[in-house]
Amino acid sequence: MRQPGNDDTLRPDTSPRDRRHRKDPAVRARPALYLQLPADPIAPSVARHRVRRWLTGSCWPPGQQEDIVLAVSEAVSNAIEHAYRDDQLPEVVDISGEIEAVPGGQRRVTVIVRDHGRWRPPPIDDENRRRGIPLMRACVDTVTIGQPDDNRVGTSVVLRSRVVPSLPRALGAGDNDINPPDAATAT
Amino acid sequence: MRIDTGRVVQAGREALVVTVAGEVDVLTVDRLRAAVDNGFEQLPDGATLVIDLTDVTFLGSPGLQALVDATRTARRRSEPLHIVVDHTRPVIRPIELAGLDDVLALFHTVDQAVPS
Repeated sequence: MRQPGNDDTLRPDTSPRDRRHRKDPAVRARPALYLQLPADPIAPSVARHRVRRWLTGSCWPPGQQEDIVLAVSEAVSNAIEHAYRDDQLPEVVDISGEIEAVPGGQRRVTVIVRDHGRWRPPPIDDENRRRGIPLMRACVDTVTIGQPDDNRVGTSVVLRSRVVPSLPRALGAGDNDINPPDAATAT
Repeated sequence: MRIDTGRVVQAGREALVVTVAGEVDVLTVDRLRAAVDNGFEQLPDGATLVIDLTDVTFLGSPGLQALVDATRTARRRSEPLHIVVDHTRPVIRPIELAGLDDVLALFHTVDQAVPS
């Protein structure tokens, strides 16, 4: 998935084992997330619900889920602030997510939150923003804030989660009925 | 988000407890702010204002800011404000990540939050 800024997650695999891991249907077949929401105050709660459901369906460890959900909620909250400051036609917020394999039998989530409001510097007294961005950075591995890929007006926030173990090979692709691994063995 | 305010008397000491349940974010935080402001207005002399977040399932930066502002108001009014979090992860995690566990007066239970 193209991302603005530095992206070194998709280095070529260095070993046959890593190549097999990447081709493993249990890794490749995980559904991606996409939703587009009106840029209004309900958007963060809808985004949280959908991201939680997606991560649970992908057997993501619960503690890590909550950190990712918090980061996405902060990014969506910031996006709707852009929209409301503009007094333009109703804006939308795009949220997309993918799970990618990381060499060494691990995986991570990348969520991108985009808005299309005309960027303005945040108000000096915007304490939410001053708290929200450090909070995002504490919740995930990296946060990259910039313009969307296609040079459209607006802001894109790329959230890359910390890595977690991949699912055991015994769990096949699309097998959503299998119970998540025992919580004691998940991070 | 549900929010209720009630009086508690314990060992002769009085508190006004604002009980919050559900998600606190940009959509609901104004109601929390209003309940806290009302709480300060109604607070009897010598009583403690308590915000009980035990049943909160989500707390983001709008909620964190509301708690910081409530703490500032309490200092300005010289009235005690105690916040109950009981180590529930949805609440204690963002508070710690934001470094606010030293700024807010945190307690594990409402009983502990009411001075005795």
